[in-house]
Amino acid sequence: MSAIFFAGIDLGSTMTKAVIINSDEEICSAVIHHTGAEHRQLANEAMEEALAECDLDIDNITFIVATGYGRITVPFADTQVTELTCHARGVSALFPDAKLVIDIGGQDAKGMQINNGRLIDFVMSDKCAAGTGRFFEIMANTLDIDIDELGNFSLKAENKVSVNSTCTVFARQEVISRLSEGESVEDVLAGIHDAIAVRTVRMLHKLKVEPDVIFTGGVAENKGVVQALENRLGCRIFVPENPMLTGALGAAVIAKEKALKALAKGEHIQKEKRQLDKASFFRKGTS
Amino acid sequence: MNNECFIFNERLDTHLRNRPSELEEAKRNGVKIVGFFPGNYVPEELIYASGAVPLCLIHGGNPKPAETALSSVPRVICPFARALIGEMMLKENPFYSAVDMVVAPITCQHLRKTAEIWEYRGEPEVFKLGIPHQVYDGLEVNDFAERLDALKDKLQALTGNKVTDAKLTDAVKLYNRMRQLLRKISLMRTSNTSVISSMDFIKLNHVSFYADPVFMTEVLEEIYGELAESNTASDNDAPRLLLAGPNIAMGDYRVPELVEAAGGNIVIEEICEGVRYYWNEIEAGDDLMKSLAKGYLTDRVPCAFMSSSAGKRLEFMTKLISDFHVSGVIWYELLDCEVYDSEAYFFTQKLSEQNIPMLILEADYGTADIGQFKTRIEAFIEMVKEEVE
Repeated sequence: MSAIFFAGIDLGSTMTKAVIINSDEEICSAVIHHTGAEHRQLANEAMEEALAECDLDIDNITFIVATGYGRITVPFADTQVTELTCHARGVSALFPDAKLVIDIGGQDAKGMQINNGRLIDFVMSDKCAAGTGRFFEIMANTLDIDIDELGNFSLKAENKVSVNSTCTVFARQEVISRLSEGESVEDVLAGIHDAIAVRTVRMLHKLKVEPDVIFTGGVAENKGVVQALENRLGCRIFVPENPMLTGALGAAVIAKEKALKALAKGEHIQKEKRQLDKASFFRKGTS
Repeated sequence: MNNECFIFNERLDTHLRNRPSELEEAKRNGVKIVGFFPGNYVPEELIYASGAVPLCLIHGGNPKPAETALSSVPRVICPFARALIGEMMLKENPFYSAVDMVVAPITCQHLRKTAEIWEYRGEPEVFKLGIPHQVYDGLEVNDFAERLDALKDKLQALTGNKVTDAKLTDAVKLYNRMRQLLRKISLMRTSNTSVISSMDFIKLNHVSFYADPVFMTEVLEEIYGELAESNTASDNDAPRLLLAGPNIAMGDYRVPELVEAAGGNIVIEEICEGVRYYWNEIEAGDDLMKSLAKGYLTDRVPCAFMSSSAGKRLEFMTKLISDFHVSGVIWYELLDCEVYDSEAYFFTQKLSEQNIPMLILEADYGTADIGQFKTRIEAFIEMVKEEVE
């Protein structure tokens, strides 16, 4: 049998991720892009790049699953699966003993209880973006620090300042007033991270906190939040090497499962005409 | 009203369309229209027996009235109560405009304040019907029967008609028949067949709140007959779900629609308001007011504003889950419905002990949360499906 490939594409609110795997679930290529207003175009670009990276054509991909909040706008996907199911599967592919997944992305936070890769319960933050990637963008801006450096700064804190607000607007005001009272940037940041940890733990109340606990999503790249969460949860937290990719990876794994299941039954699974269309989309810089 | 059909039955659809002008005509002939706030605590048969037309004011889901009310009440009043206030302020709903008097059951904080705001604005007249908040010892039946007596006096004064035992007995029979038919239709869903979708069943309930009860009962007989005939086994393997919550208003169909679109099958509703309470009939005894009090207050499963309600409702829900072969519960509560929200945790825990997952959705009337709802509902259905497989 010639090598077969599966793809997952995760259109998040902020980032678009594409992952291609082979039948051994090894990652052949992975791409992360900013999500813009033109979802469809972006999904195309991310997919093209992922294909180019492993020297494949779209027709070489047996099955494609789209996930994330823009999942229905992916024109070339064979089916859609929600990000909750995909995260559960993606995390389990990396951490087989995972029981609880915390995912904090660009605009929302989720907690997932999983068992053998299956989602068994979940919670999601409400429509407010408090404590998510968007929140940290504003904080980084307010403190005039690169967003990637927030974690390192807060780990140098000596006396964590108490921050009560996690609402982006109020927290910003609170941070400014703490700074004007003379608190150090490091101590204020540690306070912010702790406030986010408290909020996240509260969101998880309905789930069981049992090891292994895995933290994914863009915010998991912030070591300050990881440490604050470990303190508040009282257990070790594992972060994948690339925490933004678990959704797309899970989608690719599900693509493989669905495809193999259908093939075993002798069913045709691919969408009729799958293409990376461009014609229907107006794009800046092209005529 | 637009030209789209509201309900699958053409006769009912036409009837609903013509109903406002019918009511106007009746008013010109001296008939009184008595509206009441939902919650299934106001005996319609009592209003009907007085010669007045009972109308349950159950419109909601549209953001405009709920937003309009914000000039009178704070945002912490639930969107359904705000919609009631807003509709009254906007005067755009022909059913609400037709009302000569409104009966407001004093249940939760939100409807209590809604009654006061309607009262404050003077038109139409408001009759506040106190509902005992605990059902322990039998005393509450006498209490409620006395309050119903006061309502009867009020209705007699309004209409100039006497509510005789004979008229009341007939009205009880009529409404019992309507409840019985709805129950029979609902119970058809216990088998693995999707004879009627949840959306259609809920809409049937909603129409029954505005339709002429004699006509409604006649059409329900017809619908029941048709469904019974077409009740053949189908291979629908969509996960069977129970929809629970405080209120589902006429027009607030986002959740059942999203569930259907995501491949879920709601087979039974456990809703306080918006679905007529059809499990029990009124057992007419010698003292009809007491029979009504018993039927409407103690024989039924209590709403969440009642003391010690959760245990009784859990017991009822557990029975529904088993009778209707349900594998997941969708709990749809309105924003700031604190009594339901406080019980959500208890239900989540208790149902998880029975391996029944429960999804909690909390919403205002608006569109901001539609994307999140979609993801949650789809993920929940994916999860329940895997469990079933």
